[in-house]
Amino acid sequence: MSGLFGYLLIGAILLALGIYGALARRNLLGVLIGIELIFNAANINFVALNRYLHPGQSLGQAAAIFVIALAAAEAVVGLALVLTIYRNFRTVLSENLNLLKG
Amino acid sequence: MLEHAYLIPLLPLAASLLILFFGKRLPLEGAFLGILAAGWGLIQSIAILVSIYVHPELLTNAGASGPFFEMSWDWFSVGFTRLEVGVLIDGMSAMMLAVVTLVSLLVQIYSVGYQHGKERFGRFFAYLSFFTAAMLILVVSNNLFQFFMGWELMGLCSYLLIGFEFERPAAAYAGRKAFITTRIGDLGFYLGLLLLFTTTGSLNFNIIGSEHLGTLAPVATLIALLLLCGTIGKSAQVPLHVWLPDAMEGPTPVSALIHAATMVAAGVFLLARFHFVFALSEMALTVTAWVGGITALGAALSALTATDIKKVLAYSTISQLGFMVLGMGVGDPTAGLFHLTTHAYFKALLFLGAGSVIHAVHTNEMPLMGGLAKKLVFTSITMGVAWLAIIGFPFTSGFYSKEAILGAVYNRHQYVLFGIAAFSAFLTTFYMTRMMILTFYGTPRDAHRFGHAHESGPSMTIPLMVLAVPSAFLGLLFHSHGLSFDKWVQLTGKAAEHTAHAAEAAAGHGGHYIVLGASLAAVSLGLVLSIAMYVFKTPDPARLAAALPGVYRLLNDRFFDPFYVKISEIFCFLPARFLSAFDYIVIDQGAVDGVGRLGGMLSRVHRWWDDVVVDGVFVNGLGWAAQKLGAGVRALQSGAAQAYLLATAVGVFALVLWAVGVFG
Repeated sequence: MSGLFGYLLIGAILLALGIYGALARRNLLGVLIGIELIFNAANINFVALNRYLHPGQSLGQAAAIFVIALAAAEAVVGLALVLTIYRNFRTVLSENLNLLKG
Repeated sequence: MLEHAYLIPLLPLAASLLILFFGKRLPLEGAFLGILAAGWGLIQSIAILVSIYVHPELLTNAGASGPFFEMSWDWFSVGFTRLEVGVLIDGMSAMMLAVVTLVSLLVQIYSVGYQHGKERFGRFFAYLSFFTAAMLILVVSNNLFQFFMGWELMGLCSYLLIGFEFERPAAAYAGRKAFITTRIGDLGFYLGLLLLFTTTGSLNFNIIGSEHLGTLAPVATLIALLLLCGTIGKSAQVPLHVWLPDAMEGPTPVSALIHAATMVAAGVFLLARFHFVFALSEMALTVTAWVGGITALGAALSALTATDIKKVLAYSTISQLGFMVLGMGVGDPTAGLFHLTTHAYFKALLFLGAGSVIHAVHTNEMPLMGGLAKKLVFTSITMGVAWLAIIGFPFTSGFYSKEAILGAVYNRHQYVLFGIAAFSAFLTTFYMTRMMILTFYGTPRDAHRFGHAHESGPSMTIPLMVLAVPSAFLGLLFHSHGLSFDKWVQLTGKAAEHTAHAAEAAAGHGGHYIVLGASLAAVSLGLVLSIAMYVFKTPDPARLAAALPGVYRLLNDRFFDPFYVKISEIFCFLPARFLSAFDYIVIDQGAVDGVGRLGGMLSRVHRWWDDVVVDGVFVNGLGWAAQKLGAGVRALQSGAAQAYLLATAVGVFALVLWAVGVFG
């Protein structure tokens, strides 16, 4: 079990770092990277739990692959948004972006 | 012949409608239609008279009211009451038919000349025919309802004809006055009819007269007095006589028709027709007799000083009607009807003659006439005949009929009334002689008018000559052939008893000679006094009037008119003023303005509601609340994506904690 715990711990740390990055970074690119960290935290959990709890199966592995593909698509969309925002506002700092303010 | 008696009233009715609607397209504006209808009526009436005299069995029904012939048709029914229209021919109505149609025919022929070239020529004849038809409807009526209908139609016609020259305010006023005054009497008559009907449950004269006399007896006095009101109005008895002198505003032929054949005759005819009711009540008869006596005397006094030739005749009509009513009141309807018949002829003649005079000199005022006998030969001779008849000169028609009434009064031992009647007869002789002298005798007092005067055309003189015949000889005809008038006019059993009783009494007491003496004395005294005063001027009437101004004023006073003006002030103007005040204060200011003010108040309340509640609370209040709420919630939406993300993370974290059971 000690092996699984280590992986889960790493996953949790990654999640925490990712959330922190997504919430605290001023640069949108940093926020995107934080989100990538959250994805990967989830991936580590999928893979580790699959390996240790259901070694005969591979659904967790498949989910990880699926999440990686999803993350790639997300990165594309996210970077495209950041690029467009930069073109329009000449900035990528999140505190300057309040278009949604009511 | 009798079966078709309904034609007599219907033809003039049809004629009047035809003239009214198509008169303009017909020659003479249709006047000949009315003349033809009246002419046919006259022929048929005389045929009926002769045939029921020769063949009394034609009067098939032998009711309590004497023999009669009756036809009736159902008109309509109300509940169980059938209203019928019918024809009732008995001696009384047959006699009246002949009188009405003859006078109406002659008046219409006369009017062709008299109304020539005047305004509304055709309409005049339509009205005359309608008037005649109304009277005939009343005369042949066999029931209360039809009688009343004819009665009221005559009221309408009198209004139309008296006010015929309505461009003159006096004529319009006289028309209204005649209508309203007679209407007051009609109210009593109507109530009497209703009471008679509710008491007996029948409208038919003969059914009431033969089957219901017993039920009638307790209320007979009231009914009779109410019916008498009708006569007082229609036949111009005191105190409702005031309309008749004013009715002289109508064209003269109308006066002739009203005073002889229609209208005023209806009131007397009413007394004869309902005599079976009057015969039940001694009191009603007494009242009737006194009304007649007072009227005869009062009107004769009023006639003494009148200077308008038609006014003299008007008062003489009232006076003679008083005689007739007196005759009815002493329980001798045949005497009253006899006088009605003879009076119809000579009074029509007098009026038509007066019309001829007025036509010639264009004035009604006798002081502007005089000496006209030379110019108006036919008129003066025929009027002379009528004059002799009305004063009761021996062997003229008026002599017999007036004597019949005097005899009836005497035989009932009403000596005061007898004195009044004899004195009235004396006054009649006096003022009629005065009228004749002032008009036809002496030197012309207005040379210009006299110079232009000329005898009227044949359409006016021929009726005068025709009327002169019955005026002179009708009484003689009855007496010389031993025909008592009673034979023509057989009335109720009780009335016949009265008459028989009276005749007996007369024979027993030698009263006949007293009556004859009184009537001859009245005529001769009146003649002597009048000739002395107006021919020989001893005493000179002008000086007499100057010497006795109080008496002269009293004779000219109209007594009742100012009184009626007061009455109408009290009963019409005061209520009118009260109602006007009521209208202004209660209706206008109270109701109308009040409703307005209430509306104003309500709308102010409504406005407050609209402003404060609808607009303030709902419309603006909701907007304001939404704004405030929005402002509060807007703070949450910072637009900072990371703040949202933080909230999401915290939320998820909390959910996770909850999922793993941290919160219990």
